[in-house]
Amino acid sequence: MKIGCFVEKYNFHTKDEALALERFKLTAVAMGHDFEFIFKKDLNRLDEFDSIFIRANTDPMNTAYVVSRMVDSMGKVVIDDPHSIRTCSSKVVLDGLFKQNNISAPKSLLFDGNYSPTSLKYTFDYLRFPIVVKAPYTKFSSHVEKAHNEAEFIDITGRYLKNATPIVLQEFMPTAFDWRVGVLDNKILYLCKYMMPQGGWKVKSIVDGKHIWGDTVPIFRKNIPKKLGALAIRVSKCVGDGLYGLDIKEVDGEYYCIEINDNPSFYGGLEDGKDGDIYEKIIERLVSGRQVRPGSYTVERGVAVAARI
Amino acid sequence: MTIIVSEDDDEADYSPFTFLRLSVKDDVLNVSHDYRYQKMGYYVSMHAEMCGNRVTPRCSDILDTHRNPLLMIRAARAGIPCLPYTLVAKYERNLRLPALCFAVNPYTCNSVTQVKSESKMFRAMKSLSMNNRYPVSVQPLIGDVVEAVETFGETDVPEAKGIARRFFDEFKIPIGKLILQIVGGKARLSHFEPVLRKEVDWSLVKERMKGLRGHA
Repeated sequence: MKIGCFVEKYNFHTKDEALALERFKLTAVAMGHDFEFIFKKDLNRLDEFDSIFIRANTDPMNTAYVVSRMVDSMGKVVIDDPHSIRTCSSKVVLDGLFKQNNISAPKSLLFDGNYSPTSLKYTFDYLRFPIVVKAPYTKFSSHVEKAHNEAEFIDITGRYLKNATPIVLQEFMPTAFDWRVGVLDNKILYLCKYMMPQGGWKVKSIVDGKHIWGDTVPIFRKNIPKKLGALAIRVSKCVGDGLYGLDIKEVDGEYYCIEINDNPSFYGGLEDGKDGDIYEKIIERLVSGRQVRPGSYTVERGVAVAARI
Repeated sequence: MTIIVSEDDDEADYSPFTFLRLSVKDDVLNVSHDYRYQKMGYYVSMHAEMCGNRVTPRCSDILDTHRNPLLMIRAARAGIPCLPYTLVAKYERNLRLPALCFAVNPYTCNSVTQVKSESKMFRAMKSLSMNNRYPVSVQPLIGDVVEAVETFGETDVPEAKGIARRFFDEFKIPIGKLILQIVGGKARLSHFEPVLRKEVDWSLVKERMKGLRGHA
């Protein structure tokens, strides 16, 4: 089989990510497959490949989505599939997904810029300061800020609302780390702790004016706490049977899902630090011929008014 | 059927933002002049889908129409006369001129750019690709470029009537702007864009809503 791996130059900027990409390639070749890195200059060649593995940042407005949708429409396997990208890329969508499926998550509200005293009072009473403000398109902890008072709240939300409406407000849930649970085919693929850097409150925080990443601690997937694993699988089943990375907080033995990401990061020696077979499992999925199926949040095939207009 | 309209409308059941807070179980018609990703028009459809409802338009259709190569692939498959396109990652010398170029990047909305010379192509590619970060869709410029506002498959532009109907049949986008080239008196689809609020004939929309209510 011929696997294309859609990447952008930035995917090779850090040696750990480049190492993981090299491991994908070596694993595929060892399994008897061709594996080629393809770039946006190769968009007219997508039909040459049997399946496509997307490593460039996915978002419905990025080139990666165009790739995903084109390959999916050819009936080929693509990870990440367009449905997963559409669902996971927006925190507004995830907020609705969690609420509708009764997924345990921090308290949250959508905000469309209603600064009336009644609206603000309700918001502040319900979420309590500090309030986490998230732009829908946040990635790698960017565009997520904490408002400690009304003035900060108005400033941050005003900036975020310029680019998107609505945005997400969330109660602040401080923890020393986020669980990162990798899921493929609705099964646990790998497990890590993404630690908060000292002095920070997000995995990537600004400490003393500098962007600092917290450490990643890999853990054998067989050791995953039962409740954590169950929550991760349940959330993944809402989206589909593709490849996902879930961020989950643990507070007093309870688990709260922060988000489910398509296109989860792989850095050599980190996510693969304990379970080295993750590359093999992903390649197996890519050559399986099984397109990713949408999960319990499925889109009806029909449209509402077609026959009436 | 539940109807959501981006403008104040007597026929609408809810405002878009109110709808996002509800778990309506019904067919949903989402009427907006702007369905761009991250905008309210998009979220209404996404919310309706998450509630398990049939919705017009669907999110996948919205996104397909807003990404030029995806629009071209699907429109051509649906039998809509289209212009051929090439995806270009950065400026190339041998692109056929004159050309009509469209951004395939997350930031540019109304990006139709007519290019008639090499020097302008260089500048257009640099701008539309945002310094070679995103691909650009390039089509041959072989006719007159015309804009047609489509409302439930109808348009005032005579040459575009057939395409507007077929476009709506395929994508079910209630309101949008079709960019066409008129070649030998016949229209061919080039692109799709959101419409400015003031460009929409809201009285026609209202009439349509009333008609739908009559059927419901």
